[in-house]
Amino acid sequence: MLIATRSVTARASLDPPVVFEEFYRLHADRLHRALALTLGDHHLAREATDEAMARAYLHWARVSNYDNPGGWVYRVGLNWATSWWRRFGREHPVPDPPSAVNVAGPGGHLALDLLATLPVRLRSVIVCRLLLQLSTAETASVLDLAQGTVKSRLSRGIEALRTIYLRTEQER
Amino acid sequence: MTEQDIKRLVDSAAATVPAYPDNLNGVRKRAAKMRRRRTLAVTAALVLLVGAAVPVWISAMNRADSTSDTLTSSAQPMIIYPIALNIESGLEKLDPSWRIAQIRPNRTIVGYPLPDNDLRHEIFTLSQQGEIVSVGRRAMPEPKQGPLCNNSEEFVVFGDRSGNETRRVRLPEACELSGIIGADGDTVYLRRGRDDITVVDLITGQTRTLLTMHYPMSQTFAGGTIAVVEPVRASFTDGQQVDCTSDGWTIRTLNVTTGELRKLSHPGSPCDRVGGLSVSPDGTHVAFIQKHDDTAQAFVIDIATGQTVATRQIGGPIAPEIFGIAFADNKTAWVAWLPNDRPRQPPPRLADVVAFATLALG
Repeated sequence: MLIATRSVTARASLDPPVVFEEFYRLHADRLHRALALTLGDHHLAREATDEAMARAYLHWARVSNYDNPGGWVYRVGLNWATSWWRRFGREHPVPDPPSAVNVAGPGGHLALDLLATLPVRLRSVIVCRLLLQLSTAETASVLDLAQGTVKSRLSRGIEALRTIYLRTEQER
Repeated sequence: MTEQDIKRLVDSAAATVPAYPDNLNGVRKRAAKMRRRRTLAVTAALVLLVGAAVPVWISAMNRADSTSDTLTSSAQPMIIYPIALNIESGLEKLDPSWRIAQIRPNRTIVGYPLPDNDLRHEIFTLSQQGEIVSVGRRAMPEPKQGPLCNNSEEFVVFGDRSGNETRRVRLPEACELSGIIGADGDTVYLRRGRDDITVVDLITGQTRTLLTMHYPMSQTFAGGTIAVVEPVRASFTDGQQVDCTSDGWTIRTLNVTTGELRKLSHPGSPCDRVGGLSVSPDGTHVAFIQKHDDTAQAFVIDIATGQTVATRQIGGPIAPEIFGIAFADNKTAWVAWLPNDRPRQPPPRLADVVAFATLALG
């Protein structure tokens, strides 16, 4: 599921280190940011990153052999957070109203609010493609989607962001 | 804005996220805890298995039949069909990783796994023995009730009980939820985008918006009537407008033939939560569950008069987990819930009871 053909640029940044500590040092912050953008909650994202990293540590012999262990950790973190939502009241990972989602705390960035207006399924594709710079095939593999679905969700997400951005600019 | 601009936007959003603190030791400790927990769970499972198997075996040997396992009706005036879930096929799938989406008039439960809730439906049926049996994914047991939104962009229609696909229709825009096929078999009603109830002609592929709603939460269709639940703005006695959008709902119905739109007022506070909407097969009544604080009540309302024709308190003083409400026929609705006062043990099977009750409409 997680085996994917990676681009040269992605390979340079996501090559699996042999030692877990090295992997953690290289990727933890980036994956945390990716999860924070996807989930719209950096506290939950930190927990999700810790949890996913702990699982990666536990199964490092296997995970390190994946083509894309970073993608695996991202997916595990996302699944863990989804379960958390389910257990603690949020039945579906639907987007909160922009004003209620503020990853960066008080005075958060407009970009965060814009992203938060998208459903999680679109956000996760945008984050994988644009922030983690995974290829379409890698994103499809990490999120367990068809490549066509990745493309359509990316297109829809970008279009939605563009629309909301222009509307926000006009309101200003 | 180009894709590069969007990428810059995402990068700038990521830059505002507080940095991840180095927590390698914490991660190691967490992993060690997981390992210990897993070992403990395996050990406990083995102990429980051995501990449970022996008395069960002895009990089975001593009992000629299993009639004592059958739950009997309570003394309450409603008809109750206690259902013991089959743990293998029901409970483990439904809770916590599966969610029941709706119940259907033929006592069929439609469930789906989270988080891909809008894409993969799984159908369960209730056997005569009360077991929930999985029929399979995307298999719709009832003719004319089987179109499913697939990959958010197309509809797949399943036309028979075996779940065979009968046709596939691409939509010009994304569909959000599974639709409901009309009585003619060639029309699908679905919610599209955020606010619209749309009708899709399965033969020509043409779509037409029937009803635009304000953030609708659920919709149902039967007998030529669409019913939707949407938020209300409650008006209190002092005239102040209070926004109840977090938990206050109102019900609207639309007759697709005449275009008549009705707004039904439900009893109780406007801020009570309303859900589990169901329309009777002839399209004349709507049933729903209303939750007020911790209590739950089932109502059946006559759409033409707006009058409540049947009501029933569900569960005890504390509302149980309710799976849904559906009409069995034009005169009877039934509710499925998980009683919260069920004894957990012994015997353990009682922990897995779903009860069904009927509401007779006079």
